[in-house]
Amino acid sequence: MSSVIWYLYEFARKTWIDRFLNAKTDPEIAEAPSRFRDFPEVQKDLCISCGACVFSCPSQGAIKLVRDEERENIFPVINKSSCIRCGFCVEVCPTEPKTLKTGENYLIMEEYRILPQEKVYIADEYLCIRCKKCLEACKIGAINFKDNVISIDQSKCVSCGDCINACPVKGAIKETYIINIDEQKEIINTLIKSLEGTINLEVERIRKLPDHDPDKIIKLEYPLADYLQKARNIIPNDEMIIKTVEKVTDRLKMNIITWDDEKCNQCRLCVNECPTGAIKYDEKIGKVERDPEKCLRCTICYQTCPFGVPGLYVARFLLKNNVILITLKPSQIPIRG
Amino acid sequence: MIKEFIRKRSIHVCLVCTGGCNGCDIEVAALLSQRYDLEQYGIYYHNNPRESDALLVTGTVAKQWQEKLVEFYNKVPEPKAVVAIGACALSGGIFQQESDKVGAPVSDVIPVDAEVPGCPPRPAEIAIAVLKYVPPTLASYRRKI
Repeated sequence: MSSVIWYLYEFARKTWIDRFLNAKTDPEIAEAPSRFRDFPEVQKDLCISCGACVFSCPSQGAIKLVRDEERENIFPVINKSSCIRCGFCVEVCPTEPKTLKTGENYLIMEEYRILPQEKVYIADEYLCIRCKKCLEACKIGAINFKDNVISIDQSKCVSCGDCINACPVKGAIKETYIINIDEQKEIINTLIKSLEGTINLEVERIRKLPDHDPDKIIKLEYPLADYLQKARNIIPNDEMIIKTVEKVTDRLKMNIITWDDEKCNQCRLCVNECPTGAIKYDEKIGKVERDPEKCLRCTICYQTCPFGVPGLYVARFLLKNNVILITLKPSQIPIRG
Repeated sequence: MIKEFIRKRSIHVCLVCTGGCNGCDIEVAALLSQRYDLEQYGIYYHNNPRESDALLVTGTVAKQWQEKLVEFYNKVPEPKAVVAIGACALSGGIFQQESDKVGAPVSDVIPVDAEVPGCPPRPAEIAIAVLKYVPPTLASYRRKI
C-alpha cells in the first residue's frame, strides 16, 4: 500500500509539480528566428549619405538623414513608430558591407555562373503573365516553370536572346549587361547631368507652375543626337548605349528643387535641417545660400520652409524615336510647417 | 492589496480596431491560438470594454473613430491601461497623410501607456508588452478621494 502511495507521489511530482514550479515559455515562441526582418540597425561610420534608403522607403517619415555635428558624418535614423520592417532600405544600400542591417533576405542571394557572358537575362515574377512562350522559344531548356513562377537557370543560359523576342510583355524578361560596368555608370551619369542641364535652362518657366495643381505640367524635349556623340567616346557600342538609356528613362524619377531668393525671410530653419550642409547662412552678407552641388534632393528643406522658398517638382522621362520626352509636375508631398 | 495582486495575474483586454488593414488584429488573434495560448499568461480576451482592464488599440483612428474611441475609453472601469499596437496606431504608418481623415497617433486621442512598433508586430512582442507594462500601470492607480 505504502509503495503505491509513494509511486503516485513520485508520478505527481515528476509530471505536474516540477512543470508547474518551473513553468517557462518555449524559446521558439518568444524569440524571433534568425531570418526575421527586424528594424534595421545603422552602422554610422559606413554611410556614404547617398539618400537611397530614404527614397526607397514606402512609409512616410520612417527614415531620415541626420547630420552628426561632431563627426561631420551623415547617417540615416530609423523612426521605429512608422517603420514597417519591409527591408527595402537594406536592399538598396550600396555600401560594402551594408550600412543598414536586418535579417537575411534569401531572395537576393548570388547565383553561380559558368559561361563567360556579356548579358544576363532575368525573369520578373511580377510582370510575367505566365504565357510560357519563352519556354517554347528556349532551345536549351534553361527556363524552368515551377510553383507558377518562371525562372531562368543562369548556369545553363547562353544569352541568345530568343526568350526576350518571344516575350509579349515589355520588361517581363530583363536583359542586363554585366560587362563594362564602369563605362555604363559613366554613360548614366552623363545622361543625367545633361538632362538636368536641359531642365535647369527652363527654371523660370517651372517656377511659375502653380503649387499642388496636378493638372498643370510642363513638357520638354531632349534630342539624343548630341548625347550619342559623347557616349560613343566613352564606349563605342550603340546597342548598349540605347538599352541603358531606355532602362534609365523608364525608371528615373528626378526631383527638381528650385530656389526663390525673393521669398526668403532669413529664418534659418532649413540650415539645421539640411543633412549634408548644402544650405548655409552667410553671416557677412546676412543671407541663406544653397549649394546645388552638395544637395541630395531629400526634400527636407521643402517640407520645413514656412515661406515656400524651395520648390519641388518631379520629372519623368520617356524615350521615343531617339528623343527623350520630359514631363514636369509639381510634387505631391505635403508641406509640413 | 488582494485586488492589486489579482489584477497583476489576470489582465482582461479588449481589442479595438480603429481602421487599419487588420493585420495587427490577425496577430492578436494568433495570440489566442494554441501556439501562443494567451490565457496561460493570465491575459483574457473580451469584446466588451466594460469588463476589461486594458484596451489594445490598432489602426489609424479614422475620422469616425475619433469621438467613439474616447467613448470606448470612458467605458473601461478604473484602473485602466491602453496599449497601442502597430505602426498605424503609433504614427499613421503607410496611411499617414495631411488631413482630418487620419487621427493617428492614438496618443493624441486617449492617453497611451505602452507602444508596440511594427507592421505588424510579432504576437510574442504584443504579449510581452501587455505583460510588462500593463500590471505596473494598474498598480500605480490610486483612487481619488
